[in-house]
Amino acid sequence: MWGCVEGAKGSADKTHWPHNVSLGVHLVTRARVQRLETNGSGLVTGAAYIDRDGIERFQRADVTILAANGIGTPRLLLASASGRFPNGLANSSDLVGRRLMMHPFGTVVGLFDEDLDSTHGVWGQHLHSLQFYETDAARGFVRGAKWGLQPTGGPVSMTRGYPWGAENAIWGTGFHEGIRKRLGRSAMWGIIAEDLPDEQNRILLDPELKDSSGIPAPRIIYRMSENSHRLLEFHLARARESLEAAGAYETVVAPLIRETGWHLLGTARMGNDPSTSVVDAWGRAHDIPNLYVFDGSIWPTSSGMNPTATIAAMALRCSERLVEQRSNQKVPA
Amino acid sequence: MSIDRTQRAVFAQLADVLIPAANQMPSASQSDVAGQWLDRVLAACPERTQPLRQMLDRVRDREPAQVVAQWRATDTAAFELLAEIAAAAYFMNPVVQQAIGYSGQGPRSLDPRPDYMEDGLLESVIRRGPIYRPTPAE
Repeated sequence: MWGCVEGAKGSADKTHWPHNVSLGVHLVTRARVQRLETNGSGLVTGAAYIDRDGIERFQRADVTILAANGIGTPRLLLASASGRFPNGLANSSDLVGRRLMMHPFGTVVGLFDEDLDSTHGVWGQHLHSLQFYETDAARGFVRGAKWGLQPTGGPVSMTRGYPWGAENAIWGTGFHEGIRKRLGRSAMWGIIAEDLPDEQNRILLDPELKDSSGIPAPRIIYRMSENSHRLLEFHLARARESLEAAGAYETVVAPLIRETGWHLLGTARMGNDPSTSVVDAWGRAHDIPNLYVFDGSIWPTSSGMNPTATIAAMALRCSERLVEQRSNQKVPA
Repeated sequence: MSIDRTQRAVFAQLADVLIPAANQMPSASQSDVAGQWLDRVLAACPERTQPLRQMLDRVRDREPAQVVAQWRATDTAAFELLAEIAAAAYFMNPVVQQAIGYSGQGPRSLDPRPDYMEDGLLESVIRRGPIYRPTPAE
């Protein structure tokens, strides 16, 4: 999502793909998958896609693994509906696309008199706190949030809705004074709320809107729960107290950052019961034995953590199982 | 595809609404945001060139402050595109960077001993010991 034009970020294009390609992996970029095709036995036979030149192609596969996360994966499964699978692939439970969780996210920034050198530093977080993570019924909500402490970044970051909140913008007459106060002298808590699964929060295919390749666009239906509202209110108040105790002369609260919704989880739930889940404990679709999902959509609950490391760990675990069981793997003739 | 002279003039006027001269700091146009620094920004993010051109062409002869206020209220995408490019171009100017005491990003070595382990910040947490809810047994 946020790559680096300098090539300085440890993203997968730097950490994994060069090695994989050197081993013979064929990577097709700027391609959009239209649908997965199935055969008479109910197995996936491969993916129909449009390449960078707009040409329709088909990639045959013995085994198909989806890793398009909480919006892309259900979008593709729903777009692959057929006479045999009228509600989309792997959707006998009617749970494909449902239970979308996106981690409501708020921030509290503290302004300090002293130079914190906060134009530089580790992106993500220096340290995190789970002090208020577990459920405490006295607070009026269940579950909790992770707090991540981080610097606020360079000068352009001082002007953005994240982490300051669009309502706290400094444009116009207060611009230079705002930069003076914020740049190098601010630290923020990012509050990641555990989002509860709700079957009404879901991904559907838009009946009319299509992308530039003519593939149906996803329609996102998401309403933040009362539990999340209460949770964030409590945590933002505690985070504000902590920054004030640390010496901040002013705090800036952005109760819900509009630009978030980075963590897309839950829309192809993992479970043992095919009637209440989409994939089994190893990421394999209950309905289609050669179709796997190795992304955040298989999470039954969201936790309140940044999900990428866990998604990667789960993908590794499921991949190892797939390799171990390869002699029993059903594949199309 | 580039930004023509008329479009640059409109961009400078809009950027000045966001970043006026004050506190001994130059305005956006005084810092040449619509010149070489705009070119640098668009060279880094070429996909924004066309949306920016279209956005600037919509302004015509309207009052810049009015346009910015309207976008801010009703067209978030246009406002954010303008604001992001204006700020990026402004802060690319080395004179501005010097004035705010910022010299850009660069590599820094990490101290393997984090300061929070040295200065006692976590002592109370360490004293308290771990708190967690065990995962369910199989």
